[in-house]
Amino acid sequence: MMPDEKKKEAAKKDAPKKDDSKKGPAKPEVKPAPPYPGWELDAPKQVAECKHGAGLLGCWFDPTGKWLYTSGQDNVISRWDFVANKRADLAGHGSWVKSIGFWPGKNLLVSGGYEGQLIVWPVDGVQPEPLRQVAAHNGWIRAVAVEATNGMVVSAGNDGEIALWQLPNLTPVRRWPGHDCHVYQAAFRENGKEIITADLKANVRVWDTATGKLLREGKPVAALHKFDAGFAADIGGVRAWGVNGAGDRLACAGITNVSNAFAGVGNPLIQVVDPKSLKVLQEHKSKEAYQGTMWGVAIHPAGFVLGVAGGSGGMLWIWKPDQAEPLRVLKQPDNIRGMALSADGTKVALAQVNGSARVLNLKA
Amino acid sequence: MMTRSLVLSALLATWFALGAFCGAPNGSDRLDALLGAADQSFASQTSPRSTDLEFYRRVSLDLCGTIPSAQDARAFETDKDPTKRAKLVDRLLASQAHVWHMAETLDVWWMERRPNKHVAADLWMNWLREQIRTGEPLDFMVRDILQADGTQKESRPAARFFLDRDFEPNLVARDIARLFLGANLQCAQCHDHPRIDDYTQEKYFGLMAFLARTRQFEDPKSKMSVLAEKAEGETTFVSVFDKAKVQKKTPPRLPGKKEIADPLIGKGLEYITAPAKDVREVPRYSRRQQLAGMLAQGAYDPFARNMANRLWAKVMGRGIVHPLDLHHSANPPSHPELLDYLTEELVRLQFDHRAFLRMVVLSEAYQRSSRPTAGPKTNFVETKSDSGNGWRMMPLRPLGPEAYARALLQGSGWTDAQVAAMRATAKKPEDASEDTLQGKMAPHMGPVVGLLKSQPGLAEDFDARLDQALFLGNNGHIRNLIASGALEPKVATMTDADLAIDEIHMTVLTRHPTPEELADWRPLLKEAKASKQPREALRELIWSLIASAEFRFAS
Amino acid sequence: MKRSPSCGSFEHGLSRRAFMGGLAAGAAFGVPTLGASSLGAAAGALSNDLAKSQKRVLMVYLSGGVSQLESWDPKPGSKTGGPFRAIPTSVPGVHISELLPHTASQMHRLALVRGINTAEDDHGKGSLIMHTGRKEEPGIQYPHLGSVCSKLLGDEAAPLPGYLHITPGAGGGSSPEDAAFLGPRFGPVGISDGKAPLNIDRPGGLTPEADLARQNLRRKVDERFLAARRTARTEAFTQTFDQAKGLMSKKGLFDIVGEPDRLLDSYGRHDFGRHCLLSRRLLEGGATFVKITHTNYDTHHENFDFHIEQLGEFDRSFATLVDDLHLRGLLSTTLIMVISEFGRTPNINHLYGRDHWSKAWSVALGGCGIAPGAVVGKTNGQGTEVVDRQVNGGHLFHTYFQALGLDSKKNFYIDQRPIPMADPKTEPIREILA
Repeated sequence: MMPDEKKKEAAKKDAPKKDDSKKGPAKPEVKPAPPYPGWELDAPKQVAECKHGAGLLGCWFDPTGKWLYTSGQDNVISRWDFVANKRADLAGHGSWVKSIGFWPGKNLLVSGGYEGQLIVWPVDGVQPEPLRQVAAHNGWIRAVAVEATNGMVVSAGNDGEIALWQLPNLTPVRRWPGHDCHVYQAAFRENGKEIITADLKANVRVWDTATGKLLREGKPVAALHKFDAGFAADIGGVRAWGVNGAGDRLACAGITNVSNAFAGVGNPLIQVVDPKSLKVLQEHKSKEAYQGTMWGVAIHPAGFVLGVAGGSGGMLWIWKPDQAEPLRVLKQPDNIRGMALSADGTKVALAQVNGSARVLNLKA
Repeated sequence: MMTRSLVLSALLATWFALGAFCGAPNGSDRLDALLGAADQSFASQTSPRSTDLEFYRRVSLDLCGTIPSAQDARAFETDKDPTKRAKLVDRLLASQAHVWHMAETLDVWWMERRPNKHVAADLWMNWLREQIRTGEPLDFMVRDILQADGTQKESRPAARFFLDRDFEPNLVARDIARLFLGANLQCAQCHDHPRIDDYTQEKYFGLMAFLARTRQFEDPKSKMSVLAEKAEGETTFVSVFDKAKVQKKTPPRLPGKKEIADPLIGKGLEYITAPAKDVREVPRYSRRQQLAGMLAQGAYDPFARNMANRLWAKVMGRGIVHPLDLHHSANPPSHPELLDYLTEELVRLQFDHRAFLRMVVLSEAYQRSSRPTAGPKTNFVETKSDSGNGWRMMPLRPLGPEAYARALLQGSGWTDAQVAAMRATAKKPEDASEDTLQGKMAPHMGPVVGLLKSQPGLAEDFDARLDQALFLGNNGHIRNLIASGALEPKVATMTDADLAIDEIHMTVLTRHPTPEELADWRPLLKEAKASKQPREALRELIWSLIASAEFRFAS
Repeated sequence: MKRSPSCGSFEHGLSRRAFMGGLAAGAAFGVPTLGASSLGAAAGALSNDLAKSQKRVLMVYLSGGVSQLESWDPKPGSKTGGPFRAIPTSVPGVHISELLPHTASQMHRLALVRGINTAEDDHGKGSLIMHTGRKEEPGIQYPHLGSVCSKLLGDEAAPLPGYLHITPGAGGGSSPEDAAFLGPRFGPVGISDGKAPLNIDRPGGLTPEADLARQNLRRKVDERFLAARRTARTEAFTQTFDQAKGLMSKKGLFDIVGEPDRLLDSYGRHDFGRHCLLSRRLLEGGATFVKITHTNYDTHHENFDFHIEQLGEFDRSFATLVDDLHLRGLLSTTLIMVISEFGRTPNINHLYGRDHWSKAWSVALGGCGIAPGAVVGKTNGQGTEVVDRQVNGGHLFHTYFQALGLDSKKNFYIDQRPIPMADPKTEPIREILA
């Protein structure tokens, strides 16, 4: 897979350059070859709209791509058969939910709420009900991830602790203090041998799953954090992240250049980090002077990077993996707070402030 | 030799010929007669005449906003000329130091420390100084201020009064009434004043009607704020106490005067420049211009009376009507005939502030000592704290922020050192001019003025605060002035202790030490000179006088 | 310099403080001056007993506009409620936001006003209302609460200034203008970042003996000069040196390092925690009015994250302060208020923020004269409107004064003009007065 992709990438990298050099005596009838053949990046068509109601906090595709889950300011998670526009509500959290993980083999969904509770939901039924509920953290849970093979769950949040649980019963496995500020992200890597976490102050840490020992740490995405002295508050953190199939490119998203934390004046930014060296490999930025936060990021199987933002109107950008400036700038009708990419890369869903999630078809 | 003020003033054009009125003018005698007329026992209770040194310090502070140098003071003291006080007054009034001081006084009166918004404070201060320098009468200055719309280069500085109040109509009406007519009509904005019968809502809105058509306008091209005025619009008001909410209407009317009807102007001819988007409208008939001409003139008694009362208060410590902005029948003048007389004189003198001040400061009232007559009644001062009990003696008056700051420079010997240096290096007369000296003083005055001045929009008033005492006692600023001044090095080299003590007292307090003080100081000076750090110890002795109440208050 | 002039004149029947300050002119015309407390505190130092019963005020100012929904008036589960839950407090039936767990445990020493409508969404103007009890009026500046308290409750012989303002960072925030017509002497003395006021240290190289010597000489000069011509003003001037000396002698109050570790931990080892501890030391050391500003709550963006951060600091420090004041027997004589310029919009904006909202918000009071655990006023289910017992800044000011034992219906006088202490259109909130 990877070598092929790289070749494709190389080929495409050259194409526009040549095209550029030909500029001058224009040959308008010659259309440049699309950079990613087979993928519709110019005007992906909306194929569904899931009207959750309350302002959305995020959205997730299940691993099969059949369901879309939305979560809103009404504390409800909704499961959507977005083709049939059928909805089932997962009610059980006492606060907002911004982290969801799936155990594909067993059709289980794990959600973490801002009330500190983890809930396991079997999601193949008509009306999902909680299977297990545990008070997992003191304060918000901001990150949940499931290790696909063994069904281990990692959760983290405002209490700075990293907690491991075993599905299906959420049996506690281990927990340790991981960060001295809010933990925003957590994920398994290396087939579950390692856990990687990131926090408000842009610290990225890698842990040994078996022992909870810190393996390495760094501050590669320091640009995503700032202490705003005017307001005496920290602003930023890794607000979203996404990893590529090979697991060697971790795209971290957030806000940078913050000049006024309390008005949200800053620019969206993605920094792609090598999880091994904890070095930044590439940055992706908005082309225009856009103000807001990058609330979602994903690395597409075809190699391009998708990022969404809210703040001053909804935005979807698409970047080539080695370029800072976007390849495509797709304005959206409403501010966006989250994004999901289906596992096969054919669908992208955008969670909007106005309470609806729109599903776009990326397949040409 | 007489010195800085003389030498410097000789370099500059004087407003009137020196010695034009040597000797006390008759006006001063009349003033004294009226002051004592009310009370049979007045003459027997008055304090004696001030000493020459007391008078010199006092009149320097009141006319030039600083204290004299020891050298000047000694020369004045030994001068045998019987008319020397009058000559001194004339010299001070003709000096550039007076120009600076009077401009500061008017600035504080009229702008009340408002930050500059649309007109640079420098522009305004230069304009004020130029007016004082050229002897512009006060009524003309006020007229210029009330007429200025800010569009003309010459009148732009005077427009600061309006523009830096953003022409907020209630604020402008209130301040015109307070500052130019001595009537605080604030309450009458919403209802007739509950306690002051004279302050009716009608009066307030009559004044407001002159102003209500005017607005501040930002020129879209120059981005400069100027005034625009409409040709129509009537002023109405309702009393908040009136349950029926009857709306009343008033044309422009000065308090105590007849209503002014707008002239009949043909339809379509109302404007020189008609209102339009981004255009400054100019009416053919301006109510505001009408106000300027009617208000700022001797024929309008409240204006002249307010100005006379304020000038009197400036040098006498308290208004004959006090507070200064509460002229009304329930707050009558303490000396009605005197105020009438002063008002008449000011008009007769055509609002020449120099001639008026000269008359006042050469009166016996002004020249009286601030020490009460001997006897058991010494504490009576306190009951009428600021008028010296009807000016039977001179009241103690706190120095204004600028005067205190300048006095610090002079009293520490800083100014003497500076003047000596300027003279030594001057290549042309301007290098040693008063303006140059003032420019050098400014940064050293800043911290002190900043600490003492009133808040924007509030009348200047004395307030003693903790932070001021901490500054005076512990901040390096004062200590540096003393350390860099000419006094301490001079005294350090003097071998005769009594002469040294005398020099310190003359420089800081413009007086000789009393025998009692000499006795106190001799061991202190000896101890200081014998100490490990004699110069530092000497500076602390100087500090004790500089931080004293005697230095803080004009006596 | 505490000679009592004995002329037997009318003025001396009045409070000496009133005579010295802005009321002098009014007094001279025989208009009634402010009542009981200023008379009670007349001339001379307070005795120890009086010092114990001295009324004090602690104002905690949450700058920028704290969200009532994330603090005193949570609406969990409603459309506008946001992610936080409500938690029970030490007062049965009273719930506040889960962001304030420590404060919740002190609720029986506090009271809530949940029906505030100040109808002013501008920071400056809202702040003015909350500090003066009045809406902005052209042409008149009303004194801030700190200045009023400094004037009416303070003891001029006390070594500490009456109105101290602990500001965050190096920022100022104090202005002599706060005192308005009362005169800058009653204005705030800024304590920037909890550090001692400017110029509090004796100049380098000047020994305490030399300082005393120069001050003694100054005093002697003054006594001679003023022997026969003292006035209120000269008295005020010479007194400031004594005040400065007093403050310099209290410099140790500003040094909190000596406090026990456990207490430092409990207050929190951050700026606000240190400032709270300092405020207790100052109140205990004789300050009349201490204001602490905690910044910043103007959360148009990420309201929830920032409220966790800011209230996380506030909660524990403030609760410790309330408890500490109680343990030291100071709470019953110390009026506490936690205010902002306004609250925040029930609506959550697209930036996860809340904007300015003055229509329906809350403040917390406590201590001196306040009914413990009382809650007055109510907002509707989404917190968008006051549905019961609506009050504004004027009501609060009447309440503060009454709680402090002052008659809030009295007047100040500028010259002869009466200026009501509190907005005469409003009344005290009697339900929360003890």
